[in-house]
Order: sequence, then structure tokens, then C-alpha cells
Amino acid sequence: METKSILVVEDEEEQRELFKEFLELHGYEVTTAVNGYEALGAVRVSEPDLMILDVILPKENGYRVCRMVKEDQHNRRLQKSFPVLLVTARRLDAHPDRETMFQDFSQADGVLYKPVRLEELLEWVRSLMRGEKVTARHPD
Amino acid sequence: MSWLRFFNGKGDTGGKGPAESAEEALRWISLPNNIDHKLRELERRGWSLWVLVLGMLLLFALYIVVLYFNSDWWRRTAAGESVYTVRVLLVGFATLVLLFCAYVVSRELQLRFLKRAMIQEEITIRQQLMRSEKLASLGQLTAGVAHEILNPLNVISGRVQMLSMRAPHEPELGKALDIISEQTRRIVKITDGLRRFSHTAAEKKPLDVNDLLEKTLALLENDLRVRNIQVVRRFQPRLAAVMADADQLTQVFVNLILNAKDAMPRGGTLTLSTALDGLRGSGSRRKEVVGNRILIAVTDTGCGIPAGDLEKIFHPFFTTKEPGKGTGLGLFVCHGIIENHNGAMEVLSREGEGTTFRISLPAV
Ligand SMILES: Nc1ncnc2c1ncn2[C@@H]1O[C@H](COP(=O)(O)OP(=O)(O)OP(=O)(O)O)[C@@H](O)[C@H]1O
Ligand SMILES: [Mg+2]
Repeated sequence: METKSILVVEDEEEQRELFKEFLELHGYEVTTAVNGYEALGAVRVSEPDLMILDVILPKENGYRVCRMVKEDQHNRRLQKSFPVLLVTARRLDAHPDRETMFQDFSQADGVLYKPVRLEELLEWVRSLMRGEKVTARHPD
Repeated sequence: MSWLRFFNGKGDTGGKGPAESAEEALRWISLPNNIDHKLRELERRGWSLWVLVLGMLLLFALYIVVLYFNSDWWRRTAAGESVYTVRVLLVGFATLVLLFCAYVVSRELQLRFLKRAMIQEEITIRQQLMRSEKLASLGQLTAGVAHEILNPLNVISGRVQMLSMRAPHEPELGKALDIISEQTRRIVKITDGLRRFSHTAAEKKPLDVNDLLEKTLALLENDLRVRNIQVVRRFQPRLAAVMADADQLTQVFVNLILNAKDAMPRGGTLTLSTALDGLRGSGSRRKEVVGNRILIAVTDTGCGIPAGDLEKIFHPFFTTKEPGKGTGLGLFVCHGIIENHNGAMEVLSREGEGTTFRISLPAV
């Protein structure tokens, strides 16, 4: 079985390293990007099997990156329709407009809240790559 | 046993209640020329006094007129002495002028009275606005802080999780890592508690409090049954609605009920009551001025709160529960929410006997 690739988009180095190390430990090939532009560029160069996106990013934020990727997949500008997993320290009701937040989120295939339980992350990554749906669990 | 009152709603200051919302307050402040509407409103309150003053002036004028008409001027006028005709007419004219002056003066006085009342009201509205702005910026601040804390926490907890995956055979290290995980969970709980405070953008709709209490109970009833707690409902039927955010109000009820549950570890009785206040006043005047308020009480037969703690329970982070169990933010958040709804919250407690939390909210 070939190794699956994951693109981790995180602006903070420590967060990036954490996800990278953990996922590599479990046999994935991990590439990283530090902001929204880089992420969009990286996706066009080589499409990953899954993308993990932080929401708060310099330059394009995570939602927008996610939407653009989803649009590109829809228009067949990208070949693989790889899943996107959002990771955020935000909480839904801290958002001024809960409805758009849900919409923003609904573009992504899953949302994990920081601090992330790594086992859960691994579980989700596996199910998403198998094409299964995951259901978000809002902390509360 | 005495009620300790922490926040007194503005509804009983005798003036018109504060603006329902910041937007309404803003509308009033930004349209100071919209005096007409306000005058009419305030006039209703002031007019009886001025009717009295005007009435007295009228009587006085009548008195003068009658006096002169009874004097011999009248006879002489009838006899055709034109000088007296002129005098009678002059007196009549003077009476009219007097009445007009009285009207103008009273109007002027009334305007002054109204202006004073308006300035007072505007001060109230400004205070109200400042309070809600303060709450909103405090909310933003806490949301921001929570976010800033959760990011580094993600790294800490992630590293700990990775370490404990790698070192299952080292019990001592494993134990230390477990403790770190436990403590990070505690931090998450606190930041989430703070965050609850941050959603101040209330969506206020007319709500039936009885209904909301019933729904909240449905969420918690299982918990209560397991703890051997009997629930008594004393709902006033056909309760007037309140303008409130359902989620936020539910959050208040949940915390009060959970606090009551925690206060009765060996079981007891939880009584939820609702009532309408402000109807009991005699005559319609009181109703108009005070405005009806809805009272909600949550009473338990639990351990009670020591008198020395009563003042502190609404402070953030005050808790008597085990570390890691209570955040001490529950009542702080409740208080913030009720304040944001122009309500008031009181507590009555006696050690060993029980506690009542009472909320009053303006009825629609
Ligand atoms: N019904 C009650 N009976 C006795 N003590 C109470 C009651 N309600 C509150 N208290 C006291 O007030 C303290 C503060 O309550 P508050 O709801 O703010 O925080 P908490 O319940 O300790 O924590 P959390 O709400 O986060 O679980 C409690 O720790 C308890 O000592
Ligand atoms: Mg509590």
C-alpha cells in the first residue's frame, strides 16, 4: 500500500511540528504550509490525500482556503476530491454570526476543536481517507 | 433571614423602565429632536398636576368676575353709564389675559419639568448603554483570551499525549503525564466557561418562562432522579412573556438547578416557582409605573450558603467545590446574563436549611 500524503496548514511552528510528527509516526507522508497562499500553491503543485487546516491563518484564512479548494474540486480544476479537516481553537458561539460559521464549516469535511485529542484526530483522518463521514462534536 | 440583593433592576426606580435594548437606547439618544413623542409620553404622567393648577386659576378668575358683577358696577352698567361698561369689559379682558398667562406659565413650568425628567432619563439610558458596551467588550476580551490560551494548550496537550503513547511501560512517567492531561482539561473547562460569558449578542424574543423551565427540567430530570431529588413545580399559569435569549436563559436555569443538585448530595426537594409581580399594587397607577415583572425562584433544601460567602458567590472563580470540579463561573455568568436582560438576581439562604435564587425579569 502506498503511503498517503497529508498537507498540514498551520502558521505556528509548534502546532505544525506536533501534527507532522504525530502523523508521520503513524505512517503518513506530511507536507506543511504556513499560510493560506502557500496552502493553495501547494495543493496545485501536488494534491494531498487529505488537508488539515487551521482556521486562523495569516493571509487567506482557513475558511476561505477551504472554500476555494472545494470550489476548485467542484470545477475539476483539482483532480482528487480530497477531504479537508478544519482545526480550530475557536468555538461556535464566540462567532458573531453562528449561521455563517456553520456554513463555513459545512464546506469542510470535519471540524476538530483545540486542544485536539490525537487519537480522535487519527480516527478521523482514517475515516475521511476511507471516504466516510465524520460528525463534529462541539465541546460543551 | 434576609434577602441579599446584588443587582437591583431599574424597573422600580419610579421612572419609565430603561430602554429594552442598546439599539433602542441608541435610537433615543441619536434622535434628541424626537421630543414630541417623548413629551406625550411624559405628559401623561405630569398632566394631572397641571390640570389642578389650571383649575385653581380658573376658579380664582371666576371669583373675581363674580365679585365685580355683584358690585354696583353691574347696576351702573345696566343703567347705561358707559364708563362702567368699559370697566366691566376691561375686567373681562383682564381675566382672559390672566387665564392665558396662567396657561403659558404652566406650560413653561411643565416643559421645564419634562426637560428635567428627560435629562434624567437620558442619563439612565447612557448608563445602560455603557454597561452593555462594557459587557460586550469584556465578552470580546474573554473570547480573545480563551482563543489565545487554547492554541498553546493544544501543543502542550498534544505533546503530552504523544509522550504517553510512547511510554506506557514507565508507570511513574505515565502518572505524571496523566496529571498534566488532567490539568490541561481543567484549563479548557475554565476557558470554555469564560467563553460562555462572551456570547453577549443576545437574540431576544418573547418567551414563555414556564415552558423554558419545563424544557430545562427535561434535560436534567434524569440527573435529579438519580440523586433522589424530588422536583416540585409551582408555575403560575398564563404567565406573561419575557423578552429574552432562550439559550442564555436556559444556561442560567441549568446552572441554578445544577448548583441546587450539588447542594443536595443526599437528595431533597427542588422547587421551581414562577409568579407575576406588580399586579398586586392598588389601583392602576402602580402597574403603569412599576411595570410587571416576572419572578422565577429556584429553591433547594440543600446545605445552604454560609453568610460570609453570600457576597462572594457571584464573583468569578469563587467556588467551594473540589478543584477541577467547579469553575466558580456559573453564577458570575448567570448574573451577567440577567443583568443584560435588565433583570435582577437575589439569593436567600440559611446554612443547613436551603437556598433560594430569585430572578426578576421585565415582562413584555
Ligand atoms: N444552591 C446552592 N446551595 C449551596 N451553595 C451554592 C448554591 N449555589 C451556589 N452555591 C455556592 O456558590 C458557589 C459558586 O457557584 P457557581 O455556580 O458560580 O460555581 P460552581 O457551581 O462552583 O462551578 P460551576 O458552575 O462552574 O460548576 C458554589 O461553589 C457554592 O459554594
Ligand atoms: Mg454552578
